[in-house]
Amino acid sequence: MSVKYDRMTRRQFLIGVGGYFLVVPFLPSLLSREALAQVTTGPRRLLITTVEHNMVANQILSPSVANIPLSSGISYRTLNDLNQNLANFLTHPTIVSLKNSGLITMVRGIDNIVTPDAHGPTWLTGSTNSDWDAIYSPSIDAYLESSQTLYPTATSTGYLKKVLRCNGSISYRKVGNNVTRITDCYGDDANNNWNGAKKLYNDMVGRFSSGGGSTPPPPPPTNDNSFKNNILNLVFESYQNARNSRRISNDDKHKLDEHMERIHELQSSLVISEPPPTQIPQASCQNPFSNGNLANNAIYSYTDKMEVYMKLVRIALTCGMTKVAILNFEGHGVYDIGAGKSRFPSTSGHDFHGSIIHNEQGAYTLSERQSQYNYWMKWHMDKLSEYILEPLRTTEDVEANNGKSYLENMLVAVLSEAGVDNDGGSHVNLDYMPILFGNMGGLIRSNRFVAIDRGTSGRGTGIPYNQLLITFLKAMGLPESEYSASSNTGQGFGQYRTSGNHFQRWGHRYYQPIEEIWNG
Amino acid sequence: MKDLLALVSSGVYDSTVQNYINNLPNDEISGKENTNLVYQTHIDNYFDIAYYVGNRIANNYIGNIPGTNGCLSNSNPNDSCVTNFINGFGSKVYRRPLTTAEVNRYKGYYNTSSFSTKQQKVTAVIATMLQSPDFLYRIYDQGQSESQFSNTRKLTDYELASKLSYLITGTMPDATLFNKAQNGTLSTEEGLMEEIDRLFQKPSAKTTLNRFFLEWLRYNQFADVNAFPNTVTNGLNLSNLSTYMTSEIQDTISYVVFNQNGTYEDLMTTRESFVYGSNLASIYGISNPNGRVTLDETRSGILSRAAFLARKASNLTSPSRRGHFILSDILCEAVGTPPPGAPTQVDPLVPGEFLTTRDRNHYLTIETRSGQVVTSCVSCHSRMNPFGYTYEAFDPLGRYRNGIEVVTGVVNGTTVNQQLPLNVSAETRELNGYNEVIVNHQHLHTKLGQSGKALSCMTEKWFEFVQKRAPSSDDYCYMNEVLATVYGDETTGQGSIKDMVKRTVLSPRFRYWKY
Repeated sequence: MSVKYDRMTRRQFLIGVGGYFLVVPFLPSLLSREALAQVTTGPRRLLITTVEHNMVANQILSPSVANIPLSSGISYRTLNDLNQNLANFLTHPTIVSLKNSGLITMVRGIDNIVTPDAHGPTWLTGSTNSDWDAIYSPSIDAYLESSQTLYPTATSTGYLKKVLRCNGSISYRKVGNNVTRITDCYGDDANNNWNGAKKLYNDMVGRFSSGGGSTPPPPPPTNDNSFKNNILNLVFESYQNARNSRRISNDDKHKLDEHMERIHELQSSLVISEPPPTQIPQASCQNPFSNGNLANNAIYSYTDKMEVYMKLVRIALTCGMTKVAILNFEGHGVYDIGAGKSRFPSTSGHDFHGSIIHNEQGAYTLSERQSQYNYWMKWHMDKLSEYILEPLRTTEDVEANNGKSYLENMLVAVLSEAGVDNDGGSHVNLDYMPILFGNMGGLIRSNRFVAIDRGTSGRGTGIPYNQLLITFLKAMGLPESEYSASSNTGQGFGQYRTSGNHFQRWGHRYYQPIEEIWNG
Repeated sequence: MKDLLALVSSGVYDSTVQNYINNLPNDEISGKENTNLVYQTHIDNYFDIAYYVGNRIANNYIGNIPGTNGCLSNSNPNDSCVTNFINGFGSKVYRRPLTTAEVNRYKGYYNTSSFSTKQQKVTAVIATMLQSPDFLYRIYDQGQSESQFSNTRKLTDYELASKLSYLITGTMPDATLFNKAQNGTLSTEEGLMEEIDRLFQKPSAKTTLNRFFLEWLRYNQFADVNAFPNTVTNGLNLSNLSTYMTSEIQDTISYVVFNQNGTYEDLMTTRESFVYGSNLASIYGISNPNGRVTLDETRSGILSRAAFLARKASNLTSPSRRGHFILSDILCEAVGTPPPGAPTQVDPLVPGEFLTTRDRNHYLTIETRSGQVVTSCVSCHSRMNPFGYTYEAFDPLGRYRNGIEVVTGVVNGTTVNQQLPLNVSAETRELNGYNEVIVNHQHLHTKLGQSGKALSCMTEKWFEFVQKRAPSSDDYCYMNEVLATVYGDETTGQGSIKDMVKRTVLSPRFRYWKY
């Protein structure tokens, strides 16, 4: 046998160096960089999106990534120096940029003990039509809608909401002291024609000057390094995908880890020229349709509709039309975002929700479903980035007049209907992972990935979901008196399940936000 | 990587791409391909190449991408066109048809809003494919699982074609092999044999098998010929000598393996050679070199050629280095490293003293002039030196010395040359476990050619070459299968080197992916 030469890898080297750090006096300069922004809240705005069913465990950050102890059973990791994508579907350059600038927050290990069904969080955040809101009321949007703090007088400020099972459509509510609910779904008519769009346009943006052209998408990357970086994001994703889904040994997984580390090294060597933020442009309040109007029956597909919805949401948030928007990314109905398109004709009863998430036809392996699910997630996250996050990131919040962008002054939450699991279609209601963009003027302690040790037995004891919702409500400025009162179901917000393991662990926090991400 | 670039160049920009290939780092471990370490320079250059190729195709040859019928030239290619592009180009890069999930993933990449122009989209897809794990690594996990074995997948026909092609030709499957994978004719042993024989006919098969011998025998790692003292080179023209020495071994191995369907024993005893330069011819004492030549019996076996003999650029030979090579590389015996401070030069001759290199080496490493055992050296050198002594028939550069070593000493202040008779016989127990006398290097080569230990060593080196790792206990059954072929039987004699390759492929183990 010949003696083999084996070079110490950088990883091994770092592990070795880590051993020395343990005996070095703890210096502040060794602390991770965190965005501890000064709290300068302006007008508060909240956009909640919910995705269909679960987040898939092997597509998102493992709790083990959060390796810095924060308190008993809770650890965290700063995100802007984390050399990997935050999820397989969070690869859009805008999201990477937000990560690098410390404007993302993620929490892993939240348990829904509020509702007996895994769908609960969708309802709790109001991502259903109004009929379903009441089932597990009070929902967050019910409180927001009726908040005297948020809407002190009767105004024309609206409340934009794209709801589930409303023919895949959207609703727009006028709220205030005299709430006028528009119960009509702006969706397809009886002939499957999408005339609702025109109606919605008239209700929402008819006041704006027409013919102003659509909100331009972010400019294409003209910088060569930016283009290269985007390619490397895809390469990285392909390795992440291989590492997680291919049948390879653990040694080979480590090899791919090293490969990914090298890709990041290469990316970090590329100098990306970002536009200087010296003068943030103001948001366009012109209507989003290039011809100033929508033709009858012009739009049919889910992708077309969703892109319009997103443009409308952006306009509503930045042009004084709403403070709260809720947008549900759904998988019911025609599925035409690309992957498996031909498998889901609109008339056969197959759709993303039934065929992929629940595998009702038994046509896919788990791995294939995970792959499709990731595609679905990525499409939505890319579009969210393109039509909402990027414009919000790069336009000045003129109403706040604090020199910050809209996104810095608000919160965009990506929530899931069910908890984390390997199977995107399981109805698990434990271990949720919200993803938050922006930090509400510093109220949210962003740039963190917080992981809660949920234990290993039974249901575990993750942070109760209502702490997350209270975090949103407090971030929106609602006083406790507005959400802790008893509702028509007999429960005040935050009074759920006042017994059992979760209560024993977290009872002292039941009316509190998640303190690990709260900077208020 | 080379093979991929040949794919995309299509003879159009080979030379340019070649410049990028040259930027890839050299192999790192004693001339061996090291595929187990991931270096930053590798990743950087893989990217540069992929980006360059993607850009060139997207901007100059977008209408010529196979499988697209030129549809990518349209200003706004439709979904079907993009699918064809991904399937067509991807199957070349992946060496198999892409799965639905893979196609969808690449379509997602194509359609992502990160890329605004068609050229950017095509560049991104191609560049991503050319850096993908399925291209840069060979992953054969697409087949069915074998229920009786854990973590085992049977290779699909496409994977088998790819593995076979890389093993024999060092490149991706050609169209014939790809078609056979497609129509299922690789599944039978006959079909497989037919393809092995066909691939053996390709020039690239010689290149690949030579790579094995180069990694194993390191026949390009002789001493720098320009560093030999004048007393050794003695006016020899050194121009291109190194190239000729390497080419001789390479071409001789190719000839024995492919033209003669030779065995290991044939390699150890062949007198066939390829001498291209007059300087190398001079070393061998022949004239009018013109390529292939049959050398005299003193040069029987490839180990008696200059590339193996010129181990140290000195006026003296190095029996220890020559012997070490036989013990460690030909017999796969572990040899320890010299202790710290161990001398690397024999003691100078004192005035009036005339000793052969062998004797001086013996005094340095085995037993001093006063009869003291050299305890720090003897245990290893007593194993390696005897082999080196049999090569004392050759001078430091590999010239045959006709039984005489000319030793330069000093007598009464005057330099004097004295001719001393050479002793080229030695006693060793390394071949068969008992003491036996080896009378000279030809005798040694004959013994090595028939040695089970040497055959086993070659098999182990072959396994390392195939698997890119040292064998583990799980691998010995597989290795023994191959070894049995190399051993052959009393009727047919040894199996040929090509038989060794065939047996490797025909073994059931070759057709499985274990993870």
